[in-house]
Amino acid sequence: MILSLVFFTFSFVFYLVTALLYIGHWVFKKKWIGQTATTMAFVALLSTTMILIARAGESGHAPFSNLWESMMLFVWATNAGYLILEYRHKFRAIGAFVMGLEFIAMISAFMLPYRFKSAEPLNPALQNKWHWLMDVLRPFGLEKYAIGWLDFHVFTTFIGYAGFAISFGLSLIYLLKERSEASGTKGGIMGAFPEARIIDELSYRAIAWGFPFLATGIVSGAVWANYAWGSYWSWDPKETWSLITWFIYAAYLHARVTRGWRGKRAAYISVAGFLAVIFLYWGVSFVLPGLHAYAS
Amino acid sequence: MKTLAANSNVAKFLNAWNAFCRWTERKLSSMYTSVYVLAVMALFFMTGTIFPQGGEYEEYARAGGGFLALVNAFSLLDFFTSPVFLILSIILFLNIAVCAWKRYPLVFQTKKDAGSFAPEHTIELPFTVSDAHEEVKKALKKAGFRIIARNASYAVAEKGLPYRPLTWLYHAGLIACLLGFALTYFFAFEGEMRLKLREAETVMPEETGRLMGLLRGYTPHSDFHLFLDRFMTEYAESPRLEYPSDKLSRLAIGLGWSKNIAYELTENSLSVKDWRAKIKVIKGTRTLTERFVEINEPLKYGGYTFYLMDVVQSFKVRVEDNPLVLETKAGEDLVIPGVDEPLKLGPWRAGTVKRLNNDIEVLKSQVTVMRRGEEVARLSPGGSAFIDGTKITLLDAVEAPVLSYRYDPGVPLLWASGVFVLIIMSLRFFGYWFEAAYNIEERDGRPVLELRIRSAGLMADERRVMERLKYHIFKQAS
Repeated sequence: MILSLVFFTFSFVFYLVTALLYIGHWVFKKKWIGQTATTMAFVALLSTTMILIARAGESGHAPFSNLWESMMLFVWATNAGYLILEYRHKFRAIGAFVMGLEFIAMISAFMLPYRFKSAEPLNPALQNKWHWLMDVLRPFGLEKYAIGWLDFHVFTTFIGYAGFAISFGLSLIYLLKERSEASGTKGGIMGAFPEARIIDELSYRAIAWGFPFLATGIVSGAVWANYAWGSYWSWDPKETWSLITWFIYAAYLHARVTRGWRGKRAAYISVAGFLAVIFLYWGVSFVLPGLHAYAS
Repeated sequence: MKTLAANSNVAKFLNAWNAFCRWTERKLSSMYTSVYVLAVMALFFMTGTIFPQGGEYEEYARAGGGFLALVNAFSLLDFFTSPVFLILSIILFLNIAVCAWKRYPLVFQTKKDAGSFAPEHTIELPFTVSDAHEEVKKALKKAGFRIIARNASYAVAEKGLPYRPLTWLYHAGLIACLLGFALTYFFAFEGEMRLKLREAETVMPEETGRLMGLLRGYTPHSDFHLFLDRFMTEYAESPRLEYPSDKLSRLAIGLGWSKNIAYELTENSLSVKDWRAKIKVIKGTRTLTERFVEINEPLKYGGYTFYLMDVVQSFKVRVEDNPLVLETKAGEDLVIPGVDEPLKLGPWRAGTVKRLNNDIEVLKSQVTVMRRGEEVARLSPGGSAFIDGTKITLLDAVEAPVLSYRYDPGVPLLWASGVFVLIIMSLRFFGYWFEAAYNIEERDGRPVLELRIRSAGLMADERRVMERLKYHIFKQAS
């Protein structure tokens, strides 16, 4: 538990620096600041990867079993997703929003009481590994590294959340940029962002990325629940809210197909979707009791 | 006259009915309806998480619950089996089904053209006018395109997995998923059974699925029995790390500069790793099958799935030499005459433990006797202890697994269609598809390729595919 927390301290600083550099690049529009920001985002990603690896080694299971660990996974996935987006589309100014969100997530994780951070043994129902994978890894003596439905379920769900977080950041930028374009303002700090229609398209792409992952997370969770608890769906608040979130993003995707639901309207649905994600992740954990409540 | 009037009324009714059917079909096949249905579903589901599900209305009212009229009218305490929920689900099903039905011919019919053609790119071709058509076709083929339609003014080529059939297919998969849900809703049932060592138990559910009664000759009692042959508990030693409060010490340990790590290892450091129950399925004197059932390792037999859900520890104790035997379960209050306050027995520790050094040891079987959260004694089978001067003897201790069982004919369909949906959806979203509509014009005696490219899927990169196409065109020319 020590090493993962040490890497957390490093990562905390890295994300702060990364967010500041991206904001600096956005405001001052200096290329070298942007390049340094991207490099720091890589360093932060590496450091977050080390948190997850160290925690897996310390706890003996995949590091997704409590609120702190899952937040690290969220930060990792969002950072990785953002870097892919930056690599493909070469828009750095967006990083100010995404890395800002990452840093807020790191502050939240930092402020969690210690009992939410400590690595605890998993109860028997959560100790599940795929036998076929254990059989594959056994000849190499690596069977203890096999994963199971729980790991797959949490991992895919969080990749989905990461896509939605990026889309949320992009939707906020879209709303600001659209207002700036409508008022005819050129240049200024909004001038660093690409055209509003491109941001809208990127936001859609981020949701299109996250949507199948959330679907996979929901289905794999159902498979696991059926396997472990005997019922694939219990209308547990977390399950219900994951479906609510999925419905909101399904509505978003359908709305884009119909004319006139792009731009502002789509951005509002994306923002509503991410608010549902936040409630699904934090609200359900703390407010609504259930099988998934990390905080219980 | 009356007959004419009646016929006219019938005709009016039929016209109105036809108009209603057309309106319903139009609405149900509309994408706007999908958006609104999904939004309404999301709102209703939120409602379902606000009100405590499975509670009694009277109890809710007594506890000062609000919105009583709404709660009563819409069965909000049992929302996910209420008529409102059922109606919403049916509308969702119909919406997807009608959309899929109406779009089937559009999606799967042979493509004749690609709508109106407005070129977005032009490439001056390095070929002669007579060769241009054939050379462009070759270049498209090399770039991975296949010609799918041609008319007098332009041709259409395609590359990758066409997204429209994929979109249609995963919606069809969703219909199958909803049918799976429906099978669960109408036919699934579940129950619990407690097994006793070396005794046979029969599946006897208190209630069955909503429509199971319609099945001819159906009886809820299984014609086989479950026989518990063995039961064991496996523990693991999980020490608690003494975490230094000083940050520098933590950093030093984390970086490997200090080896001063302390582990706290108490009896509470034992955690249950697994429960294992060897169960035989028997019919008469025949054993039909046998296997170990564990947490996450259910037994499937006869359409049922049996899960190891819980373990109940029960004890028999004798007070002094009283012939009357007291029976209790772990964690329950046990009132003993002569002892000041109720006692609690448990947990019972028996089985094996895997120590930190990977040694496996057999635990000494014993139960802890607690009073007000404090340990007052430990008892092994046959052992005695004096509490407040009263002799208490543990006569027997039994760990019995509790199985939950479920009969759910919806699961196979749901899994098959769920996996299908996920695969097709992933191909649709993460794959790529390009459609190139093109025409070759002659300008100043030179052939010019007019092109429009459309794409779908996250991996689709129009710029890259244009570059590839140009590369093949100019490579052929050289």
